[in-house]
Amino acid sequence: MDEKKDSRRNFITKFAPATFWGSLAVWGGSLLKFTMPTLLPQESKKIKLGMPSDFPNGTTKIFEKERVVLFADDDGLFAISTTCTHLGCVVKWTGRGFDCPCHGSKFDAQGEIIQGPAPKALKWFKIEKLPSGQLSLNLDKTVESGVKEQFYV
Amino acid sequence: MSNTEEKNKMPSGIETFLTNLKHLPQSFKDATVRHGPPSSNRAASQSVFSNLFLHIHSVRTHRYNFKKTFTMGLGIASAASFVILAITGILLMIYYKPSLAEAYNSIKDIHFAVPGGRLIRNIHRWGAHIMVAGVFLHMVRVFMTGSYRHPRQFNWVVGMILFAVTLGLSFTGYLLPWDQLAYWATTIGAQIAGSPVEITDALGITHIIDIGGLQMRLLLGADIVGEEALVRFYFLHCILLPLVLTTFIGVHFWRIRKDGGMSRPSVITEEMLEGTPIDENAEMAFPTKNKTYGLMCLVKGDSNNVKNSVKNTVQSWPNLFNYEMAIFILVLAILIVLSYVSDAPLKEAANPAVPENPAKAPWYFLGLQELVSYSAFMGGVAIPGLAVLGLMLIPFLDKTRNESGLWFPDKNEKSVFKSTVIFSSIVILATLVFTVNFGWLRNWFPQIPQLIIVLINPGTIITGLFVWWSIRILKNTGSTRLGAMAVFTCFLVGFVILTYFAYQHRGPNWDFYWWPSLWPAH
Ligand code: HEM
Ligand code: FES
Repeated sequence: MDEKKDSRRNFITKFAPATFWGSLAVWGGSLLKFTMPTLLPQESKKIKLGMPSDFPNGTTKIFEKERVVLFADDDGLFAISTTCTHLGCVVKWTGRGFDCPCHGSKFDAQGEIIQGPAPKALKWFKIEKLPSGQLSLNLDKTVESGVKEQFYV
Repeated sequence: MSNTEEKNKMPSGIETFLTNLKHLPQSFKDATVRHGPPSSNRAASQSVFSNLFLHIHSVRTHRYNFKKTFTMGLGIASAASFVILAITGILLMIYYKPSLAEAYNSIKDIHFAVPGGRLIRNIHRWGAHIMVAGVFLHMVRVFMTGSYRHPRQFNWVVGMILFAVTLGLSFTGYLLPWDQLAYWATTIGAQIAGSPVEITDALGITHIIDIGGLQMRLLLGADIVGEEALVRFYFLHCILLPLVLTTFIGVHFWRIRKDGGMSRPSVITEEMLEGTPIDENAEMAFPTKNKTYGLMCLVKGDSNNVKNSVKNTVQSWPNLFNYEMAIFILVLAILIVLSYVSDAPLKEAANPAVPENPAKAPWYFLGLQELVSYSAFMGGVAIPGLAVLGLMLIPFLDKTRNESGLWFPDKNEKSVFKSTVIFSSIVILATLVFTVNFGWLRNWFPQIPQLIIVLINPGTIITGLFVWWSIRILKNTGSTRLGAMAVFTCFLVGFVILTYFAYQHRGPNWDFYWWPSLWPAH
């Protein structure tokens, strides 16, 4: 058997299965892509709050379903998420801070971690003033911890 | 004339038809059973190898396999519980509706309205517990008897896959009732899948590759546990994972035969076989006393089949099949009794606004939940991943060809086992007592960077000490088997103690309590 023929056969016997497995891999990859959701279900992430005067100093308002607590103090309005940054349980406002029932993380009144496995502070959401003068809480936008907005002039 | 005469002699089509019809029962039986009743050895053998479902067994079975203290029937028990789960699961599918609006109510209907529904549901729920326990204990026996050794390394890996898929089935099934327990356990589980963000966040690269988010979205089909997640879990639980499990169980059983049947020691005395069935004529089962060749001789490598003689074997029919049926019935009986004694739980319908407190996973995930309460990524991904990888590689790192098929064949194995049990228990208990009493880094240094907690927490310290101990055993004894014994025992003790601790001593807010009766009312 001359060598040229041999190497050609070698090439073909290697090439054929490689084509098969190659195409299978590409096809499989595209099937995997199919399972990746692109359309993430979204509820409206804005909460209408009302007029600034509805929230006098000292207000605490819990939005259970939307998982956020709204506060008003001397420095202004701010909203802290109640979704635990550890594994997504809902933390509970205790009057002094937030406690997570799932693995014992504790946060202070500003949402900073005091204890437990949570890796980050609780998120703060953006409060916006609509043209009508009404306030709206935007759950798609976060702000730095500590950013409180003054809306009354 | 002659023509018509001949016609008269030939049976008409109708007559043939009627004769066939008359013989129908007999010919149907001949076609189905194909051989006489399995009264002779020959017929019994034929029954086994001409039947698709039986031929996965060998025609003859070694007496050692019947030794009750060897396998303890745990593999069969796992398979039996899977069959029972499949049957009850298919029944549940008739009434269960995988949608947010209906899931909870349909389970309620099954439990309270459908005739026999509660029993079926209870058996399914208990079956899941028994199967996980069975598979786990089966793995323990395979390790302890050294049955993962050559040529069974591959089957050990298949076994690990079966273990993982079994846990996957439990996890996905847990969501389906859509009650508080289901919703919050799944929320936590999905976030664990997403926990690599803890690492990517600490490195500041989440916006480039968000592995955690990708995994979580793949599992949930969304960012939250909702309708998409329910449909995905339903599909995984009822279609994909059972198919995968069935396929791999097929491979598992096939490998047992191809690896020369079950492992067994090289020297088997009559004492060791006490209480097992006997066949006086075993030596005559095949024309040659010792098979010295097989078709396998055409294949490279050594074949176990060649070394096996028919000495000390018995007919699989009826001996092995009776054994298997006995275990099946035993498992079924246990499940039915448990199902009458205790109902599968069903809490209030899922409420995404208020977590169940405490939100506990099923018992076999509680050890993980305890680790996760130190660090999501380490406890939920890195440590269990390391454990599974380590277990999977055991047969490739311990290649000793010692005796297989015996529990603790020598003193060394027993003493390493004992000392490791003591060492690992002390390590875990000390760490738990310390953590419960004094808290951890964050309590002392609130500003500490998260990465340090990810790296240094009770979970990683326990794991590190286990690794240190196993390497020490390996070094001091010079035996990879004893090193493996140390690793496996650490894993076993860790699993047992953490599971017990989280089950019994963790209450609301994951705080420590001596007993659940001391939990504050809420
Ligand atoms: C769905 C889960 C499983 C089922 C239904 C199953 C079933 C079985 C059965 C029926 C046997 C025969 C002997 C016996 O009863 O012990 C067996 C043997 C074996 N199993 Fe499994 N098994 C499962 C999971 C596992 C796991 C998790 C491992 C280890 C990682 C494993 C590794 C092995 C090995 C190596 C053997 C051969 C043992 C020997 O030759 O002595 N299996 N399995
Ligand atoms: S989810 Fe809050 S501590 Fe785990």
